[in-house]
Amino acid sequence: MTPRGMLRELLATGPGKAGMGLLVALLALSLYALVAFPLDFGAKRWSNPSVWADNPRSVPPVWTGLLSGGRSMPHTVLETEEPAEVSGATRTYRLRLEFEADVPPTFLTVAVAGVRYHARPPRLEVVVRRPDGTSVVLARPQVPGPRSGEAAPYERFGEGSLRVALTSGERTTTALRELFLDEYAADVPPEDLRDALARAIVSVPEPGAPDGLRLLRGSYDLELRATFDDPRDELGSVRFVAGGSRFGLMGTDSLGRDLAQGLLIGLPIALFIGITASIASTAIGATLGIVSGYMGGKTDLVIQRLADVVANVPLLPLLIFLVFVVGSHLLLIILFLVAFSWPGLTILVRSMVLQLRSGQLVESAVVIGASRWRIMSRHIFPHTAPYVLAQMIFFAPAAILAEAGLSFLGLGDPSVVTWGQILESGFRTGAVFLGWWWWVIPPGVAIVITALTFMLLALGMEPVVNPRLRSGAPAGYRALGAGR
Amino acid sequence: MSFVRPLAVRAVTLIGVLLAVLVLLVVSLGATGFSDRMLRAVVGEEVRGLRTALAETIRDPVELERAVEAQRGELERFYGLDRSWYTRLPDTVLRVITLDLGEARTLKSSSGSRRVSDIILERLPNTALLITTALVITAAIGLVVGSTMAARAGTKLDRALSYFAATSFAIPAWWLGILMILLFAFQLRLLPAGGMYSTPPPEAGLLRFLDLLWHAVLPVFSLVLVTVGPYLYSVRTMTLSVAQEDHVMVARAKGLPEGVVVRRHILRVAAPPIVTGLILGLTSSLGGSILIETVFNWRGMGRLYFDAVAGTPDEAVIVALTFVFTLLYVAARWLLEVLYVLLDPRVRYT
Amino acid sequence: MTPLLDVRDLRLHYETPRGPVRAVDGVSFEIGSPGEVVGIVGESGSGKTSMANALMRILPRNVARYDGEVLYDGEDLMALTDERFRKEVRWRTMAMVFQGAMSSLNPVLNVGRQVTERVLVESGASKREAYRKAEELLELVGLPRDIIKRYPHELSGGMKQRVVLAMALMMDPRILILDEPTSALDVSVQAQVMNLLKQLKRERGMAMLFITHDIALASDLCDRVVVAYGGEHVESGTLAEVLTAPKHPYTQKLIASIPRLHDPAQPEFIPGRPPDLVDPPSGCRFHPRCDFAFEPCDSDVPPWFEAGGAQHARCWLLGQSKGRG
Repeated sequence: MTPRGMLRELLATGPGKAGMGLLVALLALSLYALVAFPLDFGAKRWSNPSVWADNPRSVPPVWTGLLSGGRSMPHTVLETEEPAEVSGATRTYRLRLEFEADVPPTFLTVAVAGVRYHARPPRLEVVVRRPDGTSVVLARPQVPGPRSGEAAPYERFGEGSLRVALTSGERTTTALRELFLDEYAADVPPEDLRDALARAIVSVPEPGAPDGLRLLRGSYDLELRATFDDPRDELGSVRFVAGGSRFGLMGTDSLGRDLAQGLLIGLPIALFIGITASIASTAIGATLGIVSGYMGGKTDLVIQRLADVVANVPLLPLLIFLVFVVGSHLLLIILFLVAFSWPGLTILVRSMVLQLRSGQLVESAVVIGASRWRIMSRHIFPHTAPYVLAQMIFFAPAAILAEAGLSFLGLGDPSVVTWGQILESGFRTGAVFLGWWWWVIPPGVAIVITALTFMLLALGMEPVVNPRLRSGAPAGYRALGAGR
Repeated sequence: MSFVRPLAVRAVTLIGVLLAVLVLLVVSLGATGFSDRMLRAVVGEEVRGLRTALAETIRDPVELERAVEAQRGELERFYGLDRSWYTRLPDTVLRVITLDLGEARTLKSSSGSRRVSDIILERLPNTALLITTALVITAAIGLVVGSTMAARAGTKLDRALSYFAATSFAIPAWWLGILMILLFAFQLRLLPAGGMYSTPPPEAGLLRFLDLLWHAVLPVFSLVLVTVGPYLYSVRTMTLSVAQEDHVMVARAKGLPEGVVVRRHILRVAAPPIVTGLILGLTSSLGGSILIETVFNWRGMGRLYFDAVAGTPDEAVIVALTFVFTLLYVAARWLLEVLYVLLDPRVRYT
Repeated sequence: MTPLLDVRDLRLHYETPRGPVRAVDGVSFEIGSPGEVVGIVGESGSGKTSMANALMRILPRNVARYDGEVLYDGEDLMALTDERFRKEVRWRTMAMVFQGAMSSLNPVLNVGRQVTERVLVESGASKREAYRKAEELLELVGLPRDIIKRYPHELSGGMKQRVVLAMALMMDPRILILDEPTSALDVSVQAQVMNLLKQLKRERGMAMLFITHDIALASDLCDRVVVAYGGEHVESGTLAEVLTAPKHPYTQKLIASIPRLHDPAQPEFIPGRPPDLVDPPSGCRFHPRCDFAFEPCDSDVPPWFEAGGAQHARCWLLGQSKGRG
């Protein structure tokens, strides 16, 4: 059967069509992922917590807000390089937060970058001006002074930035408590306040409301006031982040990582694992099968004994062992998978070759003096091709699932992002028991869809490799009295 | 008897498998320097103990150091650290074959024993319970549904079944377990999320057993759901292909009742490959138990394997478990051969 | 006198995506008395095997039409329920030896079990009796007694064919249907099986329906011959009538295609292809391949014409001579 004929037959079946459609979609999506993300995304970004520091942690996807109703707090990042106001030595950087949600931000942070001073560090003060005219000083971040041996000007926070959490700590608690006492004459006990700081910043005290606080909607001015000693002193940028109650397409994990990115980058990796492993394994399996069947004799015996041994090895325990002992590099994992998966095909192909070898086609090729390799590649291989192809398609999901299992046990390659690893971190963090479904359901669904794509193709190949089952309604079974 | 020869041939191959796996284990441990590190850690620990003991009697620090070093050399010779790893290979293989599996570094059995064989033996029944229950359920559903579906080949239901089989294969059992926990334990609060007994566990007896079953529901269900699809589809296909053979038509023409035709002339003939599928399912869920037991915190060999790999690695346990898994695997394969020889007269004489 | 088996206007059509296949399309014939052997001769695709299956009610699932009358001693077997048909007709009234003896046996049961199982399943015979009878029959067909414990894969093709034959005789059927019983066997074994059949006919008075594509083989055993073409029967008569004076052009071609040992003439081949049973030719189904086709042939279906003696044929050539003469 020609490749084109096989493809036509495959596409004539329902599963074949569905599988092909899915495969094309997955390939397109992974192509996009490869273009959109750097190749070292896993090592350089995914595993680097500072990249994700501004994101809210363990929050569900944005679109879940549509289902649950109520206005959710959008994730808001506000940044400026220019002071809104300069009076004397004090420069005020002001950013406006429109707060209209039914839930408070998950957190509030301020980050200052690019500080440069000549004598003494600038004095910083973070102030929140609330819609009802009240204001509160939440923090006074410290810029480190000159170190001994360091010469002016002193540069601070050039690479990273000074990041201060405004929704934790005793200082904020005290500041808010005083605010409520002074402005609203409400004495909120500090232990109540301590766990609800983010809520308190955007609330007014009200007895009877949850936590004793009622949300105050409106425009908040977030200010950073910096007082400099020397006019030449500089401040690069100021960034306020109000953590959203929902984030991105797929939510975040407990480190604030954008799960949508992890899921997307996991796709080309899964396909790479499945396709590479299956091509390598079928190539080895088919070649050994043809050689074994055609050469016979000692070669056959050695290959068959080897296949017999390898076929009877418990795959997963050995994989775990080898990855644990030898290493968990992605290519090593694929190598191990291939090393244990070729025998099935070898045994199948060999038995087919034995039948073919006695056939006329091969006999006539021998008579006209074709070389062994030519006979094997030109005359024998094409007959086994549909089976080899079916096996190849069938092996891809097996490889993907095996790698996912290894990753789930914590044996995945740390330099890449795989769905199994996302699941592992979710499971280890307890996402399952906290009900953080967005962390553990989508990666599994992604694994299932990818594996299913190949399974559907394999199902579609069935009429090609098993013509007896081609027509749906065969004569025979339960024939008695049927149709009467 | 004609039964003996094929079984003996098979047994030789399977013993070969066992040896090959063992050598692979030992070589990969040796060649990567893993075993040296393991042994050095053991020696280091013993030396530390010795030093404290010797310090009681030897006051002079120089003298003490010399005594300790002498002891260390002794120990290193004892463990074979002075030799290269491959010269230790035969000893190690021999030790493991005689089931002298050594001591665990951190893991313990519930009775506090550190002997690896104690730890594993304690876990074995738990894994066996989980896997065999799942297997029996899978077999029952697979046989009944699969052979009924063969009679309806080509119908919509049959097509739906083939999609179910493909999906079932594509789902990792452990992820399905996670889903089950989310749904039945977290959302609906119907079933326990993991473990084998409630806290505190019921007193011995029937209640305790029922509690165990109660905890086994979700892991067993997860295992069954992912294995039953491919299995019943293969039963269906095998049955269908036998049903199309001429001898079935002959059996019908003979005037045999349909039940006899199906049982004796279709299912009986399809039995060898069907049993093969079942045993292969058993062996694959043996490996899969590592994952499913991890998810459900089921204290079997699989969970033990996970515990030995995660956290502080316990090398002795890992080696021993890999070997025991292979042993069970090979035993299952041999059982398959026995069944095959009993079921299919054609292989008895080859 | 009522014939032993009288088949009237039997039809079996199969449903396919292209439309119904008219594999058996209104055939009629009879077996007069015990000991009579009727041959059904025709090329492959003429519906011979389907007709045998229709008689045994071995039907695939895609049956589109199945009707007609099958009168056995005057009783219409088609009217029986499936359960009664199974119990009373199969293997009791009619037993059948299927085409391809190689695959007719269950590979995982031993010979004894397969030969005896029908007797044991409900007729209340004891196991010992059943096995004794099986041994006798196996001996009758020329097999050693110990074959009863052997499995099919240990037997040669000829041995399997004999086992199948012995199996068919277990319930002492009145009629034996043989569908190409020798086609997979080599020539010497074929001769042995034919001798065995002749012996059965002679000694046991067994009535048989012998289905073959090989008219020469049929001539060895049959008393009467029916020629099948394209799902229909086109000619019938005694062996001598049909063989020496074939009336239908198709029968003539069929006989001319037999290679003869002492005849220098080359055997003739029948040009063209067997008719498509989904969309058979109009009129006489043979007319596209017929050398003598004339104007009514492609439009009108020929009826049965008497051709003297017991011989009948469905050909307008006969109508011409009779009808106008």
